[in-house]
Amino acid sequence: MPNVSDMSQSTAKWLLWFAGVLVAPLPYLFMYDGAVPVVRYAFLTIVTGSYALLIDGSAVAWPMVAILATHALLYAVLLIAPAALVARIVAPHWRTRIVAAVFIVGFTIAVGLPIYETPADDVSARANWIGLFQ
Amino acid sequence: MRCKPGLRCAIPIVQIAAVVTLAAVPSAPVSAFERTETRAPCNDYRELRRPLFGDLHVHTTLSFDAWGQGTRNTPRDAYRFARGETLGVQPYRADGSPLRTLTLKQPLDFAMVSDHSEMTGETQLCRTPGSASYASLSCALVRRWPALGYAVLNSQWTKRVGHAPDICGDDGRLCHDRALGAWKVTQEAAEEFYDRTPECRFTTFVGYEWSSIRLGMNHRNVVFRNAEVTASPNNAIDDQHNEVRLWTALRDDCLNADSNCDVLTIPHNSNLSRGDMFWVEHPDAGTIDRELAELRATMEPLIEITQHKGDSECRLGGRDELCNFETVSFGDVAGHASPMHRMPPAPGVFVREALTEGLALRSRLGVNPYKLGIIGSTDTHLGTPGYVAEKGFVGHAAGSVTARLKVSAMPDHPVWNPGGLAGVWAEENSRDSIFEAMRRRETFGTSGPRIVVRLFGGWAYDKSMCQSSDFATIGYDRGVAMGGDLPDQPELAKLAKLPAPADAAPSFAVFASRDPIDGHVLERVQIIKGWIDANGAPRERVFDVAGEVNPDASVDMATCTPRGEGHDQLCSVWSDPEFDPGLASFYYARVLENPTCRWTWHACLAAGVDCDGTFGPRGHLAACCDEQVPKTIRERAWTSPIWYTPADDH
Repeated sequence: MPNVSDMSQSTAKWLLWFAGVLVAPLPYLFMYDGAVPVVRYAFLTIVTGSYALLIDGSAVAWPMVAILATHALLYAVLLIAPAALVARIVAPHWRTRIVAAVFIVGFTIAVGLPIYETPADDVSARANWIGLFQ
Repeated sequence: MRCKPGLRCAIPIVQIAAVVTLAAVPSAPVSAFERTETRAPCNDYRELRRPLFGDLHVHTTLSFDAWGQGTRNTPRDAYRFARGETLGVQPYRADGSPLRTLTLKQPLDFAMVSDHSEMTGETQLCRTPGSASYASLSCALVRRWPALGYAVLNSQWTKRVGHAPDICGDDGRLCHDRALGAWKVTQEAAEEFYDRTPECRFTTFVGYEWSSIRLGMNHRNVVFRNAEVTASPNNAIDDQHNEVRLWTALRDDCLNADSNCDVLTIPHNSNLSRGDMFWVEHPDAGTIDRELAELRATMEPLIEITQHKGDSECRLGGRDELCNFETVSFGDVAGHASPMHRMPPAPGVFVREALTEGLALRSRLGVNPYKLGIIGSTDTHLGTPGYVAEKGFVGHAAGSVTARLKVSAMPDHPVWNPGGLAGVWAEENSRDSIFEAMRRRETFGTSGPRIVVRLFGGWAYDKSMCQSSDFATIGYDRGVAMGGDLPDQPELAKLAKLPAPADAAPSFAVFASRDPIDGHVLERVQIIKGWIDANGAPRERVFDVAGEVNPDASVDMATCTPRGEGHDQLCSVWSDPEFDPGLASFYYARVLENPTCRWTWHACLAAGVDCDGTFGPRGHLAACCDEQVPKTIRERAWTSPIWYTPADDH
């Protein structure tokens, strides 16, 4: 059984990446302002895709799906690099603590502070992580 | 008369009297308007007409895009605001109270709520709990993610798709029925706020906006003369984005109906039309012929030259450097947000280009389909007609920087502006009088300030006219007001009991006065002439006819205080030194104020922006230090043109 303090570089990379996907505010680049995590882009992709599939996909629904999916995929790919870098430079016996710290600090900030800007949303211009999915 | 900036100067009574008050001198050169409705005559009736200011392009919460941006103001609220009451605008607190309130410095004389006729039913169904479609996926999308919902649903009408089936049903019936309810609300509000007493304080019009997009914006506002209107508004979805269908329907259902119904349409944002607005070849109606030109000329006597989404007068980059005024550099409404839409304006989309094309079409068809008078309006989506102040501009809603949830230091996209106003010369403040002024094009547009401008054209004006107390009487007696056609010389000479001038050039009498309450001093008046030369090429020329450029006129950028002297009033009688009686032409006047701060710089000062700082402002305030964003503007007014047609072409 591996020592918990000796997390593999690959596991650390993907866990850090997952933390970024969940909480890192990333700017919306098309038409409206905003900064939300990848998971939010993915969620809106599913919502818009459902509309395009179930209601009407003949106007801009599918292009909107494409735009949102592009944001989700682009940022998901881009986040691999910093995650891999951190996983690589951190000593093996520190990886578990670093990954845990990233999750704890990241979620504490994300839940505790309105770090996201969601003008496409009807809840608030500024929102915390929970507010994104209410 | 010169007036120092910052001081409110008294406008000489003699001059004003010449143009406005003494216009009541009875000489009967003007035909009285026809009254088509039951109402008391106005106490203030001027046979020779007076200027009235209004806004004919106003959206309220009944419009899908305005509602999606958090606008709660109704048509009734909009009219209350136009009459001078204070109104709240978004964002709203949890208890429903607004974070911001607005008030006009001067009430308007007239206004029209012109909500979009498209998506009206959808809006009502999606916002009303318990409605047949309230729980539909489309409505949920719009309510929970308004910006996303706007992008997706709005495109259904702009891409010729039709109504959302899960909201409207497969046959669209649900939405049509609900739209009728909104149409009733619009009419009731217009009736409630129309002053039918002899006081005639405020006039409303019933109307709506028909918003088609084929390639670019092909929008127009529909204005009814009185309370006799069509049973339902036309919309671009059902008209398949074909404006000829709109005109035909209005002609058949209103103009040719056995009633007092009368109507006209006013296009806007030709600057963003990508060629859809002015055409020779229509994708559905075919090549323009005499019949089509007559239909268009009948239905569309005016154009909204300026509004929130830019100025449509003339193209940047030509010899007229003053075209660089609120001119949007791209040719599609999405260009402000999307680099892939950032194409230059298409050929022929500006008003001056259309006026010139109209001369060519008249020569070919015998009818000028682009004989367009001029107005301005706001296109507000906050339900705040006439709110054109540069200082304190709160944005437009409906796109750009959202105002629904937060107050932004830079409240709108820097390329947009607060919009303008419509001016008319009417005998009294009533629907019939104003509508007939619009029909005969005795109108003008301003970029916001209430600049008064009057233009007459004739063959026998002399320089002393500006000193005469009978400016308007002479103007009508010996010529035509703006919007009209220069009569043949002998005919006019006979009418004016004057000797027929030989080989004379037409002369134009123009008078302008500043907005004494919320405007600035005037710099100069120009006459813009357009014609088709002997080789068939479009030509234009700008003449300075009154006032002058004051090199000392500037703005203190630290306080937005204007510097340098200007004029309270300007008047001139000008003859065309290059007149060729064989060439058709048009002439209109443009009045310029001295420079003042643009809304963006007012916002930058309010936010305390320091462009010399290490990092500079971030986000939208970065526009404060962007050299491409003008810090000052020259507010202005434009008259409707006067047309000259060679005798051979009559």
